[in-house]
Amino acid sequence: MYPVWEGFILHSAMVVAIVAVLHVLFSHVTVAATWFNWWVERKSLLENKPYLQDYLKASALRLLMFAYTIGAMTGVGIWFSVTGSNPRGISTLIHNFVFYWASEWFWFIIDVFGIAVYYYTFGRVNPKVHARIGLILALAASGTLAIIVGILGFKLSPGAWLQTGLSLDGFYNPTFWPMLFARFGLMFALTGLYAILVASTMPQDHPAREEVVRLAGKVGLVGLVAGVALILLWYVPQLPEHAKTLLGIPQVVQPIFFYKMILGVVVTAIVLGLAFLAPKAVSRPAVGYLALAIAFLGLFGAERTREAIRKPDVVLGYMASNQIIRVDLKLGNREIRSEAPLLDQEGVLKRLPFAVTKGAALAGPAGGVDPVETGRALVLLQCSSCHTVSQNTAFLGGTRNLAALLKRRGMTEASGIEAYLNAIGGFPYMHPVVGTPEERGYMAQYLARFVQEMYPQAANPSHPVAQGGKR
Amino acid sequence: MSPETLLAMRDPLGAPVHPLAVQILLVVTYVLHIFFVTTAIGSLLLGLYGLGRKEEAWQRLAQVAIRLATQATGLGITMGIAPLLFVQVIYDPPWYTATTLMGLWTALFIPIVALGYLLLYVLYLRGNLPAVGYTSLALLVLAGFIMHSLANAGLYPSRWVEWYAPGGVAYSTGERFLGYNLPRFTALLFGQAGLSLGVMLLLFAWYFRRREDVPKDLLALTERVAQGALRVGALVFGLFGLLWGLTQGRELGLTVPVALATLAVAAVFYLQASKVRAERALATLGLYLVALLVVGILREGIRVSALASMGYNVFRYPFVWDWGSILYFVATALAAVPVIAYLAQVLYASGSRKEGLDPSPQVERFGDLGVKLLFGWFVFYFALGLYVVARHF
Repeated sequence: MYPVWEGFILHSAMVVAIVAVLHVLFSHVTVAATWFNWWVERKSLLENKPYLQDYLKASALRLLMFAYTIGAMTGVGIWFSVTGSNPRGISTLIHNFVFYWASEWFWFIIDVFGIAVYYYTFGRVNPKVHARIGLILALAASGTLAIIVGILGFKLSPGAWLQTGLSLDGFYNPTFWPMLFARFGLMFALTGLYAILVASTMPQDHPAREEVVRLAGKVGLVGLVAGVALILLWYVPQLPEHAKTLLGIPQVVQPIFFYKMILGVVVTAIVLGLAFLAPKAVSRPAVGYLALAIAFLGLFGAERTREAIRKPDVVLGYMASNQIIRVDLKLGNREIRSEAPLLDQEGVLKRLPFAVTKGAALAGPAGGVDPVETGRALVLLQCSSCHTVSQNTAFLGGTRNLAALLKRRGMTEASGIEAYLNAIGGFPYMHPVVGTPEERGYMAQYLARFVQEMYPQAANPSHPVAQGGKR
Repeated sequence: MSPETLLAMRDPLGAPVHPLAVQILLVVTYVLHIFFVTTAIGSLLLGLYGLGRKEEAWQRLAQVAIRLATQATGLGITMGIAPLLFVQVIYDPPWYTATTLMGLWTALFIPIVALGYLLLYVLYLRGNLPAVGYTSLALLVLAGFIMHSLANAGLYPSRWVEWYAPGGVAYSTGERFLGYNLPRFTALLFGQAGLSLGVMLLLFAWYFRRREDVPKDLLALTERVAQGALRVGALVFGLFGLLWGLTQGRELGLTVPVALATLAVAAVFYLQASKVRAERALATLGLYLVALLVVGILREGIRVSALASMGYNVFRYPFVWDWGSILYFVATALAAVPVIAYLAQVLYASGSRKEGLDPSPQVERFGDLGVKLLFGWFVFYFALGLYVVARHF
């Protein structure tokens, strides 16, 4: 186990979520925009419509500036933010899939170098060569999607990897195929919105403006319908049974997630439909920005749902969200041992190097320990990957704020919280707390202090924690 | 932190190939990464200086430098992905400890780079906006410092627990910088920025030497500035390299190797500075890549040595040959590398005349092959997937 980075004002998991959804939005636009632009460029050549080149230049500049700065970089940003918030989770993916990511790196080079070559060679090489560069960009960008889908799907449905340990089995996992095709469809919907936005910034009387908006509406709508159908009819049925169960539990997937997704799909469909039928009505930058903002909200709901239904694991059936391996596995010729029994038997404080607290290193749990501070260290290690566990990250309530959750359930004192911690493994979305009974007592004492810090009115003046937190 | 604990922190899955292979990939890709990163910093510094000069040649050179900085930043970021991957495979305990100890900076790293990169584009497209350029420079240097601290904090396992919980109280907000060494940072960022800039300017002068529309005074100025950049870069690299040896080098018992390697590189380029000409740009580039490789190996040697003193032998990192992933990587490389070469050839040809130029028929055939290779990769990708699925029926 590694040190815990709780976050700074924002909870670390929320940082990951924001970066990840931004990445999905920009990267999906980038990938499909390369195909859309290649198609428009061919149309320009085959139908002799040179004015379409103006749209291509405007689109390429924005892709160069935004999609490749924000899109490609937020992809790396996911690594960085996940590394800070869940290092053993990303370590599992890296150790399994490093050469898949290294393969994707080649596509990144083509994307980043290629878009620059594409932009700077407008009018400087013959149109056939330029269109070929466009096709290369589209293929390489699709290559990045093709690879990341295998790694993403693995976390929710590792499939045969749990028996063989072979990376190929984890990569081509049960949700790989539906997710690949669904994302490929949905990204055209996002690109449709992007193309509307770009075309709207062209002069009112430019002939490309209306033509591109109409094309964007058509392509986007087809992508949206195909993508949503694939999600509902192929992806969801392919989910592991455990994930399907969690999908129906409101504590795991709050109804607001579904509302966001529905809103995103409906608004996108309306804008794309109007673009196709009445392009003048949506040819305004404000419409494009608003539609993309709502699509962001929809993606946020979708991505958070996908993350939530993996609970209580970060890699389903292998590693818990709090980075503790909870199963014995034989992965080919590798033996993986569950870490939980040893932590239960000997104690977290003894086994994990960063489970340190004042006095603990010297005296051990038996004496000289500040129970509340010790509890804080243990709660940080076990709970902070999913919950807000201190005021450091309680901004706007934080991610599943434990103080709020415990207060809502009427548990404001250590004894009640300890009983709750002992029972927590009974939920389908939680693993049992690890550690000795004494350590769970420390955790309860810290959590009682946290509840009382957040909700002073809930404090019981006779309670020792409320009076100073020492015993 | 005991040696046993440090070893126990390694990922239980192990590496997918022998650790030496990962180590070689790590060093080689780091060289590519740092070349573009330092080119970006050096050329942005030159661009900002040039914007303040009134002479036309300087103004043009400033625009060239800013464009170079923009493209080099993009490539630097892209190239950085590879060493970032490989370091996590065989150095997971130091890397993840450092990144969580400095969690805030780890998470902010990409937004900082992205904003700096975006502002560079604004500077490039809008021209003379020095304030935007200086903000971009500050952000990119801050990003460099974050990465420097992350790499360095991993070198001190004996301090990790105290860093995390000073006085035994866990600290989990990650806003402090740890383990940094300013001489090392200055030598590797600013010293190398001078050297990279010098090499890139020579390449620019070499490439445009036959273009009639490029003024001769601009090329002469470029060559002069290249020589100056190499000289200043070598001085900064040598001086701060020596200080690096006397500080971090001494802490880790490596004063002599650090000082010798950095002084040798500095001496070679200081002596070369007055002799280099545009005609010898490719040879200078070759020499510089060798020098960067020496520095990359030195960095790796420091890491190996620092961790070995805590019982972490990187060559004994557990591994299992994962042939599926190796096949995948090789197949992708075979498809992608020719395409990258093709794009470079198109760019090379298109810039060789003012009005642009088509690539030769031979290059065009190469382009057709590149497209076929990419389609072939998708055939491979789907066929492999179907094979894997069929195996489990």
